[in-house]
Amino acid sequence: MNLPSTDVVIVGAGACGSLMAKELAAHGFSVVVLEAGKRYDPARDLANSEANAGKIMWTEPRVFAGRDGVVPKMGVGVGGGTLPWLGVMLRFQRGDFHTCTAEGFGADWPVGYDDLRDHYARVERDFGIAGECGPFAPEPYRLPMPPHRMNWHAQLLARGARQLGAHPFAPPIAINSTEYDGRPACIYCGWCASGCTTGAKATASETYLAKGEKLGVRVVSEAFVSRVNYDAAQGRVTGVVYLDAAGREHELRARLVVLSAHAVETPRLLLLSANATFPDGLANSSGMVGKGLMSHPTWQVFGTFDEVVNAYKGMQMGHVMVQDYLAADARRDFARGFVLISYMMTPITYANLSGSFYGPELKDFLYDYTHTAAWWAHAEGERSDANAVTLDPEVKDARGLPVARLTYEWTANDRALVAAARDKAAEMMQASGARKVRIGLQYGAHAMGSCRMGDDPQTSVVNSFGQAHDVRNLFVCDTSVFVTSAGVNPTLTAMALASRSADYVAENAKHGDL
Amino acid sequence: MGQTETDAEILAALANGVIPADERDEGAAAVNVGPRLAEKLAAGVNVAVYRRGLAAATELARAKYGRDVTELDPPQTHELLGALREQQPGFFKQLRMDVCALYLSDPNVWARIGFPGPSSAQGGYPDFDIPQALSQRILTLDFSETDKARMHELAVKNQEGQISPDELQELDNYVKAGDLLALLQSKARRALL
Repeated sequence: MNLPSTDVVIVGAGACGSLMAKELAAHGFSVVVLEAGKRYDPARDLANSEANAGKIMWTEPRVFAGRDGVVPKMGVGVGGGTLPWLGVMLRFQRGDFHTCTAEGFGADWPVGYDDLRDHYARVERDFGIAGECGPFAPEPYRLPMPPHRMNWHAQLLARGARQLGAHPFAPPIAINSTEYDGRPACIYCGWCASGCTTGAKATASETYLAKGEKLGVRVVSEAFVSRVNYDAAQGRVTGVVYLDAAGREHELRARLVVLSAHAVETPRLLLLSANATFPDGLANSSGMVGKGLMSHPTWQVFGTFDEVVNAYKGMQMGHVMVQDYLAADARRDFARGFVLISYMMTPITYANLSGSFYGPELKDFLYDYTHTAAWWAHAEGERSDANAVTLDPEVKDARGLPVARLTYEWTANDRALVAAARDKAAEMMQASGARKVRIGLQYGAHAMGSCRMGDDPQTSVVNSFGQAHDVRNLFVCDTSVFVTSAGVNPTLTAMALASRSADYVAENAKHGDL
Repeated sequence: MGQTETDAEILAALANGVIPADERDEGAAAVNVGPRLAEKLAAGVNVAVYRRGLAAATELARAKYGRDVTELDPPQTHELLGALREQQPGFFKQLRMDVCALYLSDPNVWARIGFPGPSSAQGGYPDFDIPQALSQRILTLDFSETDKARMHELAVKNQEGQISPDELQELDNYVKAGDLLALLQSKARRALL
């Protein structure tokens, strides 16, 4: 059975899709959100368990090709990536939007900080962010909740950072430090990535989507969108085809299609939707769909102390951050910059992120769990056309559809930059008093840039509002549209861009332009 | 060379190379990793990567030591894993992840490494922001054995109605000190310090 047609269909119930759904419903549009994963009741279905984390993470097959490991944390389910996420929500710097003009690095964005300022503030208010903007913010700004007190782990890390002249602070985090918007304050249980059981951590499902549903948004879970339909005569998309949990196919017609399936599944869906007009993938006349996938090169740096640290007590990420090395510095032999973020994991993740050593050394490391602290060294990743999401020619998912193939290799700048980040974290760990510093795993975090925005339809997939150059009633609203990766976590900026897209859609629809 | 080794036996030997036995526990064997991984393998989980890895392990052990994997001593198993890490990185990574996941899901192991496990149902950690050594020290404060014996002696006398006024005062002081200690510990737990 097919659903009745709708004004807007949104693919993906994560941070950006849920925001679009609520905002467009508030403007009077009928909205249906299709989500591949299940719907969970946090209190009943989520638990303090690493095995439990598996059900809110994307586990379908993907092919990882290329020299370097990229492991974007991908959530699945109503709430998307915000189910397992850790909630770091920083605004980008002004300079992040025009690195090409200023430094000859990457490309300039078709938007700037001033275009996003009000949207940043709106998201911070509506989603619920606690923290300080910090001494290196693009401008001083206040967040709706006071910062979290640093846990003991963060206080130890901050001590070393200060000794080296840096300015550690409690960064913006989407976890309540006080009761906010009907959700309770955090109890610092230390299990963020398994899915928050109390509701203190902001998720798309418990914030935007819950409000959207009150405005009439319809959410269909376990609905995997396999194709976006295109009508060549009209030059418009006409809706989507999706498969339900039983594998039955449905068509949903819509006046507007919004893709918010994140930077791997969004380009995959466009590639799967190739047709006679767009043989290389829908809205891909530029050839840029899937190209230029970006990630943040990161390094895990552990430090073991004589004193007990108990870093598992508190939010897993971001009780403290150092941004002193984020701004580009011409004296360094690499472009752009990095941040350091406190990050402590539950035991299995602690083991997995520690590296590849084994035997007595590994066992000692496991038994040092309560005495170990960790910095996450997190750098800006450079865009390269060679890094891409494509359809794998051989491997198919359970539905018989080609899976995403991720090809990735760090650039020379990535390697130099993240090495400097790692070394700085190690130096700070020593200054904090660690008796042993261990360099853990290096991997690529976050996925961005695979359908980038721009003014030129030859070199970009969408315009600054996420609207496809090739198809005016098709929008991409997620990190796929990023032009550069910047040095900080991407979610807030993706949501601010989506907020701007929602205003644009509402305004243009009023004039019948969509 | 002995009889044909089972998957469970080879996996158990390799798993104990990843997390070895020592004075703390039996290593991976403490949570029965070998048979549990063999079950997953029989159910088809990551079967291709495991098959390749196990075949390589057997071949390497025979080529290098003229023995089966299960017959190697701990230093040889360690060396074998080093070779597998180089030659079968996909298998080594999966094995290390799977062994750690089983080992670190066991509540007895949590107790040994000092991890309390699930915590949200108990209200999380209100002491998250105080020095953890201090938090721990307050929680371990207790009466000495001599004090405990004296308290017991006084309590028995009191029950039997044979306690003197001085002894009654002494018992009362012990009760007050006990209440104070309980309060302090509760405060440490609740981070009201």
